[in-house]
Amino acid sequence: MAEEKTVKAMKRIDAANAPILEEELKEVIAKGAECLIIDMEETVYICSVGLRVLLATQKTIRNSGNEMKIIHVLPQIMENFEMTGFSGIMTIE
Amino acid sequence: MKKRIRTLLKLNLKNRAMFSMLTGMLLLTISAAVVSFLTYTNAMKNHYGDLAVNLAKTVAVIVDTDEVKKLTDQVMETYRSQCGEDGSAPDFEAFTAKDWDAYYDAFKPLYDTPEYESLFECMSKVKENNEVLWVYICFMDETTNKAIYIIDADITESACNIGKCDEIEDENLYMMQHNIYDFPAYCTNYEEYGWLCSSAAAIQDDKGNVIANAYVDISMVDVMDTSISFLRNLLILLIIAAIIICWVYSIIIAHTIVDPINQLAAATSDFVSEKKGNAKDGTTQISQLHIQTGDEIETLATSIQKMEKDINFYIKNLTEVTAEKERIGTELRVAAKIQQETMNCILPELPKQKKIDIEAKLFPSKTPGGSFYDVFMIDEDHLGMIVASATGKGVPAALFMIITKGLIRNQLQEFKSLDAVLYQANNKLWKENDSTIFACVWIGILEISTGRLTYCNAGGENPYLMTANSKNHFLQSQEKPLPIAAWENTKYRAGEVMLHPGDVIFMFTSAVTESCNADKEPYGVERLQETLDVNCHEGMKDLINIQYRELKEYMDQVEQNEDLIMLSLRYGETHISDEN
Repeated sequence: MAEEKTVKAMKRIDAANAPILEEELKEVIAKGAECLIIDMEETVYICSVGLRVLLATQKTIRNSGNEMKIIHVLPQIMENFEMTGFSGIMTIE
Repeated sequence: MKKRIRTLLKLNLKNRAMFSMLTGMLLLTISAAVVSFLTYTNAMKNHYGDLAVNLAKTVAVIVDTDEVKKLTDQVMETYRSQCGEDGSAPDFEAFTAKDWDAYYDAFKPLYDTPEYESLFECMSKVKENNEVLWVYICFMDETTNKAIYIIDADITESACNIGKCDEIEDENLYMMQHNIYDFPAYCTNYEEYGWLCSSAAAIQDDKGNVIANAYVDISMVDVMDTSISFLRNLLILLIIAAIIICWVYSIIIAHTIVDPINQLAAATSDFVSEKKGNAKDGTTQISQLHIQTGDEIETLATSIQKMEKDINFYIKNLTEVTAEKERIGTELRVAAKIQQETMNCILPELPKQKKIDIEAKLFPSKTPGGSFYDVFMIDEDHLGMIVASATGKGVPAALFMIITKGLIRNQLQEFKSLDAVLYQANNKLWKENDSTIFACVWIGILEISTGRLTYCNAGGENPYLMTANSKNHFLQSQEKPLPIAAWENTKYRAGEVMLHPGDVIFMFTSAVTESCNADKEPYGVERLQETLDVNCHEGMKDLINIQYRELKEYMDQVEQNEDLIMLSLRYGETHISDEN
């Protein structure tokens, strides 16, 4: 049973607060989460910087042999993921 | 005046010390003087009191008792003869000068008696040898409560006549009632005689009967004069001592406190000017301070010297850090300049056979990021176009952009297929990209002679195609076009479209449609589409400007925080055939 850690993403992940999310994620990773879960239930907007944060996290997690999941993605965000092709490389549930 | 004194005291440590020292000295002097004076005066009083008692006793012993008795009897006889019929004292208060003369005349014959002469001689010797004011013998008459002068060994005018009467002091009267005739020293201060210390001793006959009293008076005025001169001398001595002590003390203070402090003050006040004058370490006034007082001031000087060293070290550090910052700042400015120059792409000269209207523009935000476009001729018939935006801001994004641009442009010029160009660029950038910046890129090649546009999209926006027959649409690309540098081995699929004369293709970065208004509502594709549809007949320059204006109007007061890129191209206008 992998140890799960959940991080709740903010309502709008824009250029201004994407670094805050990045810090949060880094902190959780530093504590050694085997399975990182990003809960995007409340997120209605994500900009390219936000996508970059998710991508960077994915890269770090994958390199350390752990896994990352994104859950509760709203349709408009899902559309964004599909548009950019991120849905192909990330585990979205 | 008060204020001046205060400033003086405040400014000058030496004066302050002197002032407190003087005050202390003054208090000490006064108390010493008071205590000494009181002790001395008391001792003097006791001494003279004892002297008076002893002398009185001496006189009482040495006088010839028989002579005293004889004289006393004679005097008292004369006195009684002048008393009232009831034996009371004469009414002296009612006496006129004539009465007085008559009274004293009655006693005159007694001066010539041998007893008087003998006694006078004896008592005068005592008086002269002991420097007392008066030596005399009185008869204490209890019937009239008077002390009657029998003999006074005085040759001055103030001498008392035989028969003169004084009131007996109350305390002496009291003692007499208890048969005590030796009166201890007591002080009186009568206008007639002045301030006196008196004592009396009883002169007794063989049987122990009291014949009369021998009196000795010592002038307290003389005694007090001695006391006052003692006090004066004492004060002069103490004041001189105080002044000398203060003077010495002030010299010591000046030497051990004031001078070192002044040295410290002078050295520290010049510190900054010395630093400005580029004084070398060890040559400043502070470092050359030589204070060896062995007390807190030396400690202070040592800590100031240490502080100077610390400050020097700190300044050195700070200078280095500032220089480093300056260097980085310069480099950043250079980087920003390079970035800007890279962004300002100059459109190439296009071949004349087909009239192509092309316009590209970058609308920078306040902090430039990694957006760029490129339009260039690959060969005489092929026009290459790149529209891209990298994530992030500042120098990292700018550097990434420059690398990406060079990489793609080089590969395009090698005529590789577009999907291969992006595949290779992606893998290369992905490997070397630690900071996980990625870029959304759209590339296209237009074959000018035929109007064939091949393109490939990596995460960028699909261009909007406005055809002459008004079937406007977005160019479709593969389903999930990942940006380049996002994930390794990403495969891209190229697309192709034939442009017909009059067709307009509009390329843009996602920042255009993602720009929000005050309600955080993005501009969106629909609004873009609408504006373009309406204005597609305008010149390309106008079209881009109109589009930008519309977007700005939509955003209202919201600040644009992403670079915007718009690239618009109209292929071979319809009137070209006219030219042919």
